[in-house]
Amino acid sequence: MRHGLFLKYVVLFVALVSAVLVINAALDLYFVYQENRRASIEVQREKAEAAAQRIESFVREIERQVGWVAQAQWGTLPVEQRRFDYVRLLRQVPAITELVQLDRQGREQLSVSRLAMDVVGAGTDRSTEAAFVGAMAHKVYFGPVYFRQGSEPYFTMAVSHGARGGVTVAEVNLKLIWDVISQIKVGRDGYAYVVDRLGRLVAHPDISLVLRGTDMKGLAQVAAALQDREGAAAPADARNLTGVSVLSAHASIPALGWIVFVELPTAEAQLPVITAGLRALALLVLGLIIAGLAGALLARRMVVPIRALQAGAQRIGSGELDHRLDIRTGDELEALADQFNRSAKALEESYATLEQRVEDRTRELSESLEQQTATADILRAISQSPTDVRPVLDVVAAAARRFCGASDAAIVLRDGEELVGAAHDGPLSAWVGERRRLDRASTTGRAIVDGRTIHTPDIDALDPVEFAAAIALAHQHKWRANIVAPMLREGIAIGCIALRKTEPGAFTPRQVELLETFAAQGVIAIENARLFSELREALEQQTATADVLRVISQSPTDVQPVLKVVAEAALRFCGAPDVMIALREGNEIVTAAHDGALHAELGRRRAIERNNISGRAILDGATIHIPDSTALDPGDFAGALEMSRERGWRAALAVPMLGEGGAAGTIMLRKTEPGPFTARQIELLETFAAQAVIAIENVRLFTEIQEKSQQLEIASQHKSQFLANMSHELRTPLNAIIGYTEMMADGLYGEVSEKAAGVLDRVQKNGRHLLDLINDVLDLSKIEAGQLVLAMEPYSVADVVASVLAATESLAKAKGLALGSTVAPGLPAGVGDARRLTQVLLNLVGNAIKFTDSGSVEVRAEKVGETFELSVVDTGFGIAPADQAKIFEEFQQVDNSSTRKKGGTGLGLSISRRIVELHGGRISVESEEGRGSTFKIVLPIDAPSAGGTAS
Amino acid sequence: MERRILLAVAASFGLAGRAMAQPAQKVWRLGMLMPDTAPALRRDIEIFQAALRDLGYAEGRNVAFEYRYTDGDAERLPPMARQLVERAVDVIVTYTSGASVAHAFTNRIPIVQVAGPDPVAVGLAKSIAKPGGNVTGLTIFVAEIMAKRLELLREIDPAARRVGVLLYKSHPANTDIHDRMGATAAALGIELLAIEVRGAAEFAPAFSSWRDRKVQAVISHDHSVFALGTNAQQLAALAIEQRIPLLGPVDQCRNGGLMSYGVNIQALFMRSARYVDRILKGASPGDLPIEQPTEFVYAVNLRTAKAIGVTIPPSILVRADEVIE
Repeated sequence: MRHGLFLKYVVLFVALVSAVLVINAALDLYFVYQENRRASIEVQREKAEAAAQRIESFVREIERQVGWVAQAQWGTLPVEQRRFDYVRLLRQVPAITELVQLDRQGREQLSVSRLAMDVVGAGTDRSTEAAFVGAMAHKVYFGPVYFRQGSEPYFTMAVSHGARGGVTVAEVNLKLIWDVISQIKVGRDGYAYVVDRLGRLVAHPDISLVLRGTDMKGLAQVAAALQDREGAAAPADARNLTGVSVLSAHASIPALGWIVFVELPTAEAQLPVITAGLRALALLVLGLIIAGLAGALLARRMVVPIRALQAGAQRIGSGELDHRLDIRTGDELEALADQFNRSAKALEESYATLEQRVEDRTRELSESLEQQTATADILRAISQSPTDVRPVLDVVAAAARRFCGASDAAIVLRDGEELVGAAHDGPLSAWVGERRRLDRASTTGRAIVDGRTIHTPDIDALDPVEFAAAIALAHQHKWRANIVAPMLREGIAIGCIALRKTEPGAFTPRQVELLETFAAQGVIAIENARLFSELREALEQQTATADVLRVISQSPTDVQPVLKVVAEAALRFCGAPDVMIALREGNEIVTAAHDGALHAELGRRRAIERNNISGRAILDGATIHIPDSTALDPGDFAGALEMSRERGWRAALAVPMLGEGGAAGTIMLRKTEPGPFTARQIELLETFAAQAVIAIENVRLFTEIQEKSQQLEIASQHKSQFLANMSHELRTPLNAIIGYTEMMADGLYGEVSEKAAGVLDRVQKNGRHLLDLINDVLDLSKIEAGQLVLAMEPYSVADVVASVLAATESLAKAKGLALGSTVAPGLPAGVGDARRLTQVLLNLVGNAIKFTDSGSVEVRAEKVGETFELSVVDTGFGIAPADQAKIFEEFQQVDNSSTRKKGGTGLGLSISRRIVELHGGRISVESEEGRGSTFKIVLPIDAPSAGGTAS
Repeated sequence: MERRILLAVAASFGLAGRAMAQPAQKVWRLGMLMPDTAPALRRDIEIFQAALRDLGYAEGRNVAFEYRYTDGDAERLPPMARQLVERAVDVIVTYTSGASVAHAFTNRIPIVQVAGPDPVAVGLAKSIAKPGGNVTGLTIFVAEIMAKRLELLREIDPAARRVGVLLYKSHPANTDIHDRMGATAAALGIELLAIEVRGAAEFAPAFSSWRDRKVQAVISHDHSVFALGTNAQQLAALAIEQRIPLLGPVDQCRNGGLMSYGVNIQALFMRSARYVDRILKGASPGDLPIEQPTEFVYAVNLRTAKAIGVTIPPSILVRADEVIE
């Protein structure tokens, strides 16, 4: 960041300059390369052409030299002369190794050689040789290149001596062309060489290549040049024998069909390009350095003011709004700095304005907060003083004075057609607690009557006649201006709040507005207190009613406490100084309860008569209201007047306590001052009267029931006792009957006839049945009389079941019934009266066998929770649902033919039920007619020992 | 930062400069096996060294010479050749029979023959164009030249019938010379009397022998022992003393011989420097074709002619490349 812009500028500048330099260098190099290449090839071509020319002239020179002897007459010269000429020719032309003279017929006439022996007149016929034929035909013949001894390049030149002469054949050593070729210098490493028309090397600076007879056709440029002798198409870029890349140019020697090549290694040819490249590189480096320095300089010039701008902006940004930038570059940066300065100035100004606004707003907020606080104070006062409106009004008055900026505030309430001074705050005098008539003469009265705010800027400016009372009051309390806002509840003014001041002057609209707000709050406070009072009263009434009812329930037999509570409640709620309750007893009334300041005599009796209030209320069954005893008609209310004088009351209210059988008494309010009772007092008193009636009725009913139940109990005891005694008394003679009958049947008293035996048997059976009956009755009576005692001890259910099955087995067998039991394994030992339980089970199983003609009877025993469940299941007739409830009652048996046929006392199930219940258990039946029955006993495993005594 | 760029640029230039600098040069060692005396060969050696210099070889810088002069003693040639081989020189430069002798000790170290017999004929190379072994260089047509000298002799003395031939003892080309000269001599009706010598000490006896046999001319072989310095002067003196023509190599003529037809030995020394250069640059001697001379020189020593009373005909003088007066 510190170098950000600086670095960017420098880099950009350097990049720009280097890009320009690189492009320039590249273009330059390209053109240099092209130009250099073109020039190089041109030079080579020129050299090649020059070389070709020289070689051609070299050959032509030889031809010319040979032509010196090639004259028609020359052949006729003496041989010594001719030989001399040939020797001289060899000396003139070092390249010629051998000269042969052929005559017109092609026969060899003379041969002169540098190495071989000179031969004169050999006469060898060489007329068919190409040299002779060619020379004869075209005057001059150039043979192909050949190699002597496999290495020395030679070619044959034949020159005709004219039509009538012969031919001179010269063997020319081409190694001498090497001189020509090796003298060709192209650059440092450039060279030239010559190939013949077959592509074989004729001359080359490296003579050994020539001597070796190197074939150059393999080189692309040579092959191309041989193909196209014009030479234009030969490639300029090629490789030489050693594979080095070269620039190649060539020129042909048309006379010989040879081609001269001039080649320059590409590397050397392009040396100027490389030099140019290095120069460009150096220039680039220099350019970069200069660009770097220039860039740094320029960037610094740019960046320094920008940094100054940045620093300045930072200072302004951190709050130094009075800071000003000082940049004198005379360009956009300076303009930017000026812009910054203007912005800072604008910021500074707006900041100052903002501060002012914030200050104003803060003040408004704090005022608002104070108002909120005041409102909260009022609300707190309201909540802390729900019943008493006065503290709230005090707070409202104080708040109104404070916030309205008035010197004095007062609150006046309306009470009917009067005004009451309710609260005041301030230095002026006020009439708190005093009452005044409500009229439009005063400002307060006018505000309340009109239900609108009355604003009096100057009391002395008012009409002295119309506002005389108000002016008088103002003078009395020493105020000159006031404003009164009514406290409106549902459009009706229940009071007002007033601001006063000693100097005349209008109150501001804000003060008016605030005052109306406080008036509204005052209304809320008053309303609140009223609602609260009503609520509390309602609650207290509820509580009182509940008290009365509680007392009624606690005291079912005695009416006295109830009346006492009713009296207390009536006194409290009706707001009367005295209450008295009187009950009717026959033709008299008896004072039953009293509470209050006046005298009353409890238990005092008086006759029910229409001339006293209570009597009249009872007789009329209606509420009697006496607002003023002195206003009573002495003829009608003689008794009442007497009582009034006697007890000292002036007003009374009597409400009859009306029950089913007329008025049971009265409840009466009395007060020492005359005056009517309010409707609410009357209503309340009637409510209490109704409650008192309930209590009285209650007590009467309770007393009746108690008496009746006592009588019933006594009767029941007598019955049980009678039964117990009866049973005992019956059993004794019956035992005697059965005993003697038995003895008679056994023949103890002599032989009995069969007929007599039958009679005896009947007597005996009936006697036993009767005995069973009596035993059952005895049991039952014992139970009912609470005389049955259970012998509680541990027992085994399985044993009980087993003993029952053992006893009934024969009975079942006799009827062909399957008798069985299912006892759950591992049942715990129970605690109970095993003998009685066996009796119960025996009864049930016996019944089952008795009422089952076919099928089976099964006893089941299991443990369910903390109880045993014993069931007796049979497949007998079943019991109709209507009968199922009755069968456990005494002397109840399902009345049908079958039961009668089966016999039985009808007490068994009743006794069983009692026994089970004594164990704390239950017995029940489930049955469907024709399908059989299931009797189920649910028995606590550990029967409560309390069951020992009958209830 | 700018300084760093400059440094980098300078460093790269420095590296480039160093890369372009010449690598440490190897000093090539040339074994100069010279079958003659140092003074006699001084001019030829100087010419050879100058030719090498022109090719970029300077003594003491990149080339060193190990000279072995036999002083014309054929017996000393083999041990000296062995010394050079043992010292493992890079190239052996020699002439006449030196190549054959050196080849006997090495077929690895390249041998450049400045002048000498046909290496193919003496079995040192497979062919002229591609020698294939470690011997290359230049050959002279010594047999043809010897025959040609016979022809030349006939031109100045058509009556010559008995001619002495001076040969170097055991020279590898001797047989070839016999054959060629024999053929020419037969064609010209000339009898040849050849004597092989080992050195200057045997010159006088040879001449005395030829005097006894009444030879009318002597044709000398091209060996430097016959061509250079006091040896050549001695031979010329012997010939003049007997008033007979002495035809031989060009140097011999310059030292008093009557005539010469032959090759320019100095040109051969110059040419052989190129062979050395090619070999030192990595070429295999087996790939370098053996060169043959193209330039033949006629020389006439008119002083000697005068001394022995011989008239040189104009036909000879016309051809002469060099006339010593």
